[in-house]
Amino acid sequence: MTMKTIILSLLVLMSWAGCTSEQSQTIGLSMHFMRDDYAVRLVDTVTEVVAQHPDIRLVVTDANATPQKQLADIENLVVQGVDAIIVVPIDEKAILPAIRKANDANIPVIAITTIPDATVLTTIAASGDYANGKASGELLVEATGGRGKLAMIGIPYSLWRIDQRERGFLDAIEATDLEVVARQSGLDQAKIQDTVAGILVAHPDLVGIWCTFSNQIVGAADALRSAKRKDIALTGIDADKAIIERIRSGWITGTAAQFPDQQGRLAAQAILDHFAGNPVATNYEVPIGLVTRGNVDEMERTIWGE
Amino acid sequence: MFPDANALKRKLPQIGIAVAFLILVVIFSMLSPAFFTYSNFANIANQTAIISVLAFGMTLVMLAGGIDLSVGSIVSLSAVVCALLLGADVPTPIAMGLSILTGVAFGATSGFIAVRWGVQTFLVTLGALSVARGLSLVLSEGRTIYIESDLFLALTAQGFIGPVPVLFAWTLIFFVLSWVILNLTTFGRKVRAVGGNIVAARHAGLRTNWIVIRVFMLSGGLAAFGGLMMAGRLSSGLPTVGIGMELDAIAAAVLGGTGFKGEGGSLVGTFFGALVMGTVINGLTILGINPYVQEITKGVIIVFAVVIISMRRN
Repeated sequence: MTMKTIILSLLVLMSWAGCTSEQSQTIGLSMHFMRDDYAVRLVDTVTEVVAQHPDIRLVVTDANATPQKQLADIENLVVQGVDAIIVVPIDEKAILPAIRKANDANIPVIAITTIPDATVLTTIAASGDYANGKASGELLVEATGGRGKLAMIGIPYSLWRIDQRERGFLDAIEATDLEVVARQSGLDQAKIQDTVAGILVAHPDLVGIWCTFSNQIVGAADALRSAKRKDIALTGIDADKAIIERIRSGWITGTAAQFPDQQGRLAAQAILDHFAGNPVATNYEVPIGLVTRGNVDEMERTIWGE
Repeated sequence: MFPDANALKRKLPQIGIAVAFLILVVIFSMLSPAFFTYSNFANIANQTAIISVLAFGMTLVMLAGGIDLSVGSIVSLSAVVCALLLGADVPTPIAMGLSILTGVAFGATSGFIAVRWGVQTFLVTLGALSVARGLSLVLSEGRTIYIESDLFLALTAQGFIGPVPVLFAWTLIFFVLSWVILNLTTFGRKVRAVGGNIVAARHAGLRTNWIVIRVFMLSGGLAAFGGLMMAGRLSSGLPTVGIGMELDAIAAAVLGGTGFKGEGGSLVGTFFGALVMGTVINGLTILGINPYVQEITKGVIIVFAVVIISMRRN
């Protein structure tokens, strides 16, 4: 490459940068993870809402489930001078130093689900995780008649949002004759499939399984299918497309859905209202939606728009 | 023309990576007014600090002909140990010292097993990776342990020395220390000798086993200190941090010209290697490039740099 080409390409890059800086406001969206249906749908919705305002630019970052990456992501958004930040937190404590940097720079922060101890403009669905845990627990109580042995699948470490779901679930089964006889954890669908297969061998009289999030439910459903145990009830949280399909075929009893589109839309709208000088509430609740075999088609359209 | 053409040739990878870093800075500065600012450079310094410290240890290990896959897990183990000790009101310096010792002990064990039974370091440290991760999960019971000691946070990560963030100041200190060990001590020369040809080194009367063990102790200790920096940065000990950091540390060393058979290798190159990777991610984020594309870019840069380095070497 000659000096001339280098200079020419730099000039081209500079003029391109000049073009993009016309937009007047920028929103940063710091995702905890961008590799499942929930996350992709949320990003798509925020993008959609923001795209209706050509003068506003959206920057999306992906922490890939690592707290230190999300901390760096938010720092980068702050230094870039974005006008607002939407955060879907991976660890509510670890990212606090970065939220404080945003606070110091007077950048409003919108949290999707709670970030305790953080100063935020508004929270979307503060009670969502606890409520979803409880609703999916109640569904399991209903499906099992409230009596028998349960397996509970958690994650291998503690995460505020997942802890809330577990609390909701345990509260739902507390006054019943359901007993948790196996408690295992995992993030990976294939691993959970093996784990649940093992639990089925150890406890042939199991009546129900509860999981904290999407990959686990799909893994557990596939283990039930391999063992031909449609009699075991399975509930949990999330309504990914793979879950919808297994609810339809009867391998999953039902799940408490998160509504990524509603969460994303509310978050984006809150920022737009804030930009326009309109008042913004401190918390926007998103209703709970149970997906069961009875309403699976309707819920699929509501959640995934298909 | 050059009095020592070989010396210059040896230095080419590190000059190359330094130039690459400068070019990146120029390009990103032109593309975004936010890039060339003090607060952004402080960000880059903070975001590359921990990887750099791990990469210094990795460079020493690779120069001795080994590899240390356990450093990412040791980061987490040391962060958790320190957070637990601080939570139990152990004085800050003692908590930090014990956490570093944990890392040193891990390195010593890996090194010992490798030389005693002639196991490849890749395999020993792959096991250590799993053990250290599991230990940090067991000790923390999978939970985030919040650190409230202001002294610890200020010492490790959240303070400033003049305009320099403390986190980066530690990186500079460890850079100088590692550089001195590698270039000015007999131990440093022995490390290169072991990596160059362990049989010849043994015949020359070097206690090669002890040298390998000590290199792993250094790497473990540096990784453990990286864990303290991480705990300070996140104000907490997390059993899940550091996953995959060993690969970034290896990439930084390789970008700086260190090979897998103990060839090449300089700490200056490693330092710039870490800076290049951190700067690319920082710059692309500031430009608002899609995060999926950032991953591709990072991978392409690593492969591209390694190809150039091996072309020059041949």
